[in-house]
Amino acid sequence: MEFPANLRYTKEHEWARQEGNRVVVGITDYAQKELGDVVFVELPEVGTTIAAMDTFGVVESVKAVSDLYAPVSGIVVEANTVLEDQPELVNASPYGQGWMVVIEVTHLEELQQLLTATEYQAYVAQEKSSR
Amino acid sequence: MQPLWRFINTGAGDAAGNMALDEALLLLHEAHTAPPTLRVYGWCQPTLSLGYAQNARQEVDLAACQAQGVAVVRRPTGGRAVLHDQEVTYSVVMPLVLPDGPHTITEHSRRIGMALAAALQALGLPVRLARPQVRAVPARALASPACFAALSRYELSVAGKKLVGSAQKRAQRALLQHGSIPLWMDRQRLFQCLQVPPERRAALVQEAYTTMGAVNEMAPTPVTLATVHDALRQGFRTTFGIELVEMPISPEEWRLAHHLQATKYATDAWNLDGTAVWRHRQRSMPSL
Repeated sequence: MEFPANLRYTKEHEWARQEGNRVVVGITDYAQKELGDVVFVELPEVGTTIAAMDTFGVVESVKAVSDLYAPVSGIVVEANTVLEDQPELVNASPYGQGWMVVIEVTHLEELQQLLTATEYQAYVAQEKSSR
Repeated sequence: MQPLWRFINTGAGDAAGNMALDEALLLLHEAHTAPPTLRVYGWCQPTLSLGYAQNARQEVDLAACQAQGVAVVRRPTGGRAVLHDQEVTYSVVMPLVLPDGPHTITEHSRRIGMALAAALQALGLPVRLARPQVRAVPARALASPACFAALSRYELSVAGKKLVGSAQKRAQRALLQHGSIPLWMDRQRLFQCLQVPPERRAALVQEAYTTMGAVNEMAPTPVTLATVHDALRQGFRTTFGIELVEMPISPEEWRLAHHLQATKYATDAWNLDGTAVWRHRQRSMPSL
């Protein structure tokens, strides 16, 4: 399972990659494995304003619809419409072709509040083994 | 002390009201103002419920549904079409974090599957839990419009026939899973409600006799609604190690359910046009 070190993460299993004042967002390798085959992705329209931890869309896998949570606040400037026809890219390439939205960030400091790769990996380990 | 969950039998409701109440229970549990809940209910009229992302106008024969008195509603959960008629419908709203186990999607599905299996085994049905599968072909390519046509992980079958069709919605802190436990099944009517090539309809109905099951087609003795309710209650109690106490739906939950019914589940935009159209119309409506 991959946890790229250059990304930040939410406890809801989204990743965020900073590119200047923009952030690319998707769901993690762990999340796609847990969800199983992704059959549908619903993303916001370009121009939508979202606040950190607002739901920005949904992903449907075999029998579960899961909300997607924005890691940062800002305006959606791109949405990966390829996923409408090829939702399976989320499984095949969660950190690459399976990206979901690009957000123009209003408060870059929000990124620092997200989990690092090491912290996220530890969180996942805890989620899987909690007793 | 064992965690306390609510048990509620809301009886037969209409299509929009049933879905609205399930979503209200999820939203208010998510907001920490409602307890975890196991709800059982029925339907005032036969109802075809669709998965969140299904295309109603392409997959449902709306004229046939109307002619047969079958209501159509879109669920907040995933999955495929289910014809609800002579059945027990269950819904469970629970926290994602369980006190006694991993809080992963797989574990939630497995635990709920085990609770349902315990209930049906108590009715004398030798049910099996479907195991997670790895497929070479994308699930989308295999999809039939009918939920009961395919077994997903941790769903229940007897002698290869799917016996419970379930679907789930996951929020930040809580999940809703609801599902259909048919006592009897009208396969003919199911495929009349769906857009399938007319020349294939008879074959699909025939096939459904080997892939879809109903409790009273398989149970050793006739089973009533009340027996299934009791068995479900016992199955969840023992599997989750909880106390299930009968408590009413609160006024706040009813208020939210009525709001969701009026603005979402009773609208053609949500049920027929799809979630994207409904969302767009919601945004363009003046706020109160």
